[in-house]
Amino acid sequence: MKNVLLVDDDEIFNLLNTKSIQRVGIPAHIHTATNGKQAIDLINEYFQGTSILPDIILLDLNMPIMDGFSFIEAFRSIPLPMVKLVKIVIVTSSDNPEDIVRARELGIDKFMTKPVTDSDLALILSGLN
Amino acid sequence: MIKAPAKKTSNVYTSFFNRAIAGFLLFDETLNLIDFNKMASRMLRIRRENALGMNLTKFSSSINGLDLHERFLKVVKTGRSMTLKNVATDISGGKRILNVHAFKAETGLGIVVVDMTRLNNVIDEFNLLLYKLSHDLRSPNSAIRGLVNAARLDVKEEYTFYEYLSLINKEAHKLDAILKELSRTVEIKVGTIVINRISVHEFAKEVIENLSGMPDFSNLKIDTNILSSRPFFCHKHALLTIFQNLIENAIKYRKKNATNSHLFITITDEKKGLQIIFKDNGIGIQNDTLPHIFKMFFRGTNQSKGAGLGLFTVRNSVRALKGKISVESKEGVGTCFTVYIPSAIDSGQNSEVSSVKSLTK
Repeated sequence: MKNVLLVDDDEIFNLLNTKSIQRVGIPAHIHTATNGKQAIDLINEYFQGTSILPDIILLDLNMPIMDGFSFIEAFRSIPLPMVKLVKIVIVTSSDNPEDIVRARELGIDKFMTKPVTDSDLALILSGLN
Repeated sequence: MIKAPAKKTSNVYTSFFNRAIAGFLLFDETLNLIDFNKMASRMLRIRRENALGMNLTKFSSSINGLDLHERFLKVVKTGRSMTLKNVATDISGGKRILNVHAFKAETGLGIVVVDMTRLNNVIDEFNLLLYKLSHDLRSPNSAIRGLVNAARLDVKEEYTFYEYLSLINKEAHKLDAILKELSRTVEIKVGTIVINRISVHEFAKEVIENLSGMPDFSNLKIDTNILSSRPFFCHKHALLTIFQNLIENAIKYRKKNATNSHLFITITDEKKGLQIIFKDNGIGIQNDTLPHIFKMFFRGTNQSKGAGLGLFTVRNSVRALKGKISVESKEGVGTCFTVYIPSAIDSGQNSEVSSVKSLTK
């Protein structure tokens, strides 16, 4: 069973991605947060309590309070070796080249434009170790 | 050798020269300064008593960063004019964008300097507006596409079908809200300022009635205390935008489970204008968020469902009316916006966002 964390301030996208994961039939525990800070709090309270981290994070960029880039920096500073193993996929309405460059600089190589299709999600989730 | 313009040519010429909003400088063939106008004096921070006769190399550092001296000599030599965009630093350390046009004037050099900083700022703001809007408008559209696709794949019963339709409808409303915010922003930016005679009592009543159809309007009690008795003169549409946005904010940012959410609007006559206070008991604004609330596209909380243009538009409307706005807030207690709008009949003062501070209990 995979742990999937969906982070988007627009709850519709968290709902759509949840439905999509359910449709493709890959067993997963799905957790949602509506901004970067809420996601960090969730990781600190829930995942660290269970000594596991999400296998994958689908992350929006443009969010209030803490945006996607700030989340990546905060997440990477969590003092756990497993942090490096967590796959982060950026899912955004923007395909701004500057965002793509900045994401690459932060070591994120997967960048998807909304809305994500079932086949895209199936491909990403089935590729997880 | 060219000479400074003769005095006799001149009351008109001098007036034109000194009132121009561009800086004019005239140099001889060895680039010694012969004459310059008031705007050049202000832009380059030079004074007539010590700048006349000075060589271009002595003060060009204030407009350079490039080897301008050689390039200006080339203009004198070849007669071919040159225009360049230059970045200069002003006294306060801010960046100024100067457009410098150099041309041959008789045997010497003429330079026209135009300060493009404000125009440049407007262009930067406009580009940001376009960029962010293209993102914000795509987001609900992506959601609608995703919902339609999910409905196609998931719908097996009528109930699910209506559930999806309801979500699509919600996204369409979100799109509409963004477009509404945008149109208010643009109307104030590009609209002509028209002066209207306003009866304050009727105006306040009209605004509140107009907003009564808004979702959750009935969950906020609005009390108005109108102590203004005289008619007021200003651009009604801009004033309406200020009221609409601040009342909508009080509705959006009320405490969700509270049953006593209220907004007090107090309007009083000031010496040369009107003071309007919007005080609510909503969720308040965090201290670190407060300095940013008037910025374009700023969204401080997850309850900010729009494009983040509301308070930016309020600030622009206040500026358009040459007024002032300040805010005090305490998280969990409430927010108080104080707006001062001068009467358009005799308002000549500059506008500003005057202060942003925390409200102490």
